[in-house]
Amino acid sequence: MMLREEMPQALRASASSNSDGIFSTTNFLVALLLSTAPLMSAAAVDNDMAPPLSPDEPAVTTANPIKAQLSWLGVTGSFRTGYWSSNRLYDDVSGVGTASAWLKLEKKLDNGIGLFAEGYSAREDFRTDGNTRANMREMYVETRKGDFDFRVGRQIIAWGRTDRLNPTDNLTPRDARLLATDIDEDRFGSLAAKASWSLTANDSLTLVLLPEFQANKSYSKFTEVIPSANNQWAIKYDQSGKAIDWSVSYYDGYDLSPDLSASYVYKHYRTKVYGMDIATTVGSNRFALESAYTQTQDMNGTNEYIKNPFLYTVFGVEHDFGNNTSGIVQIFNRHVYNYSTPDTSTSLKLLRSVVISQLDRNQDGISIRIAKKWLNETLETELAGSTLLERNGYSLRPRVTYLWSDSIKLLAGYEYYAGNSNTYYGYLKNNNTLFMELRYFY
Amino acid sequence: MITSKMTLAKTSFFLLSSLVLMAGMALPKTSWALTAVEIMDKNFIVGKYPDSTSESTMTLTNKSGQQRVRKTFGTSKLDANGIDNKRMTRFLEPADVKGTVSLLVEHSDRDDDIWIYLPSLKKVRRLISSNKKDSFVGTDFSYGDVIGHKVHEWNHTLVKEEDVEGAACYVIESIPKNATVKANTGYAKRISWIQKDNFVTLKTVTYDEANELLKEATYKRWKEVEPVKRRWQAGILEAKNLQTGHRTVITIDQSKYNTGVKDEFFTTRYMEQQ
Repeated sequence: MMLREEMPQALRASASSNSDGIFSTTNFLVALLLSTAPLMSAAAVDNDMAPPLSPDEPAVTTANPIKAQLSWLGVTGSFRTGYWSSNRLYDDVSGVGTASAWLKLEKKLDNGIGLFAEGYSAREDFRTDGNTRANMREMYVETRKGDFDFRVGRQIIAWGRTDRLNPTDNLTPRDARLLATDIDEDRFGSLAAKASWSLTANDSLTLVLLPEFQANKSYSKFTEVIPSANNQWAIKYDQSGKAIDWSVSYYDGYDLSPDLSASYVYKHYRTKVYGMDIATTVGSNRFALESAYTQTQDMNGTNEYIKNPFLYTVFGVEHDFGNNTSGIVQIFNRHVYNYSTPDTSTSLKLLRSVVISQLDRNQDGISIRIAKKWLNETLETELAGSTLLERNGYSLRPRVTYLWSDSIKLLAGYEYYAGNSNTYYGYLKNNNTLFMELRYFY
Repeated sequence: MITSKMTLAKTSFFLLSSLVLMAGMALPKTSWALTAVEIMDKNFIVGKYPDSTSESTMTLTNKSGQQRVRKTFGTSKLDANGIDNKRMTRFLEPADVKGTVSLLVEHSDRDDDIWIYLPSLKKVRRLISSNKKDSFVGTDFSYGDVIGHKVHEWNHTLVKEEDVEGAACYVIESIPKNATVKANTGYAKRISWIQKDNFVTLKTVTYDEANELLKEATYKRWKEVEPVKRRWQAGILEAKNLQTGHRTVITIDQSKYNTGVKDEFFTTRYMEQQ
């Protein structure tokens, strides 16, 4: 998965319809949640980690009764409105107004079962009838039995220890169309069952079954075929909490990013991804390495319409400068196996190679991020950017966030892409945008 | 002549010895017996109790009086060495930070380990911990203030004794032993008012790296949470940045101590749960 400011993922999903059609899934999950809750209640889960606080101590109270009720229910969220000088649909539309409502429910029942749901309804571009997006990003139940943790439902599974560029993060998708000011808000979940076995306090083995396939979403004029998958799975061994954090992982399932066929239809093919990551800190520096080798359906590199196998590696160093200032520099490499020079005789053929990041045998680049917090962390400034070493082009994303109060936050920034047509940066120039947003938290 | 000189010397020695002895009897026994380092050692250890769970409210007020309020649930557990703590803090309010969890594992012989779980990131991330001068989650306490400054990294001097709100205190001036400690903590000098009878801190004043007056902190509503070993915890902690006018009050609303907090709290597994 690549950074938005670095380059968008391979040109993904056509998904040109304006609603996501996820509420059938949501209804299913509601039924699932209601049906499994009594069963899980009977499972007598461990719920004794938190010793109850003394009843004779003063209880935490909230003055506002409505707020207190919402707090008891675990309901939080935000209303947002904003302005974008361009959308993320690769067109020439400018001056887009946005409004959205975000809702989150987090409730821990007395029997230890946790309920979680988060979604949004967003209106983008007030001048048109379309562009209303609604998405239940996550909706799951979770529980614990001894050394095992279970989570069932629509969920986001984010893997990887490097910063924003994560070769091992291949399980759940992103919606690049959404006008979200936070990078990770474009994530959304897939229906999954996840079980984690804590072998020790620091070691765990996680198994994920993904009965449905959700692809990355981005605007495209091409048709996309979404496979009706029911047999995707992944496994990860992870150690964290000691001097060095690391993991090894394996994913067997469909590629979140499609390939463009000869007839210009987006298709998703099975992949097998072998991944690892490792991170540690030494003094004022944090080091992280993440790498994944992807086996594709074209291991010999003979089919130009399917990705070749590739190795994607990211290495980064973060330095703490003090005074709430930090900087990250990462180098990344994507090496294509059994590479042969692609046919780029037409713009569409060039596009095919560009969007799957296989125009060159080796794609090398650098990403940076510098951030500083001011005024007791009420004001945050950040500059992120990236460039490819073999091709001209770069991206820059300055952003400012100001927390006016506990309820009101202001965000503003700019996404800038520049480059030739044979790079993503060049392809994204139409998406250059200034943005600003006002959020009210409840 | 020689004999008279010896007699004079003996007499002088006797008189001097008597004065010293009388002076020693006149001073409180503790001040006579304890050096500044010993006082700071006792002060460091007085907050080291086996474990705790608590709910706290942090009220942050800027110069113009605008307030932000954060509620947290936290646990701590002391390592077998009796020095290093593990500390987990989960943010309950406001909505913007709800679900954020931090885990700090102290190491007296090397840099601490810090992890953070951000709900937006959906995963736990290891943080750089060598820098102790940055603000602790936006408050006027630094990470170093929260963890406790390592006694052996500072030169301590007992400068005087005076009362703070009726309690007799030692006043200890602490200077970093080297430039690294100064840079990492952000302090060129700390002055601490240590209560004589139980060695808890009632007040501190700190100076920034340019030796300008930076912060004043007070610690109130002390509770003896482990009577056998005489361990204490403050119920109200207040810090004011004298350069910016920003102020932080941390109130411990509910707390329990020495209940046998499980190790599971201090794992990334726990951080990822609701």
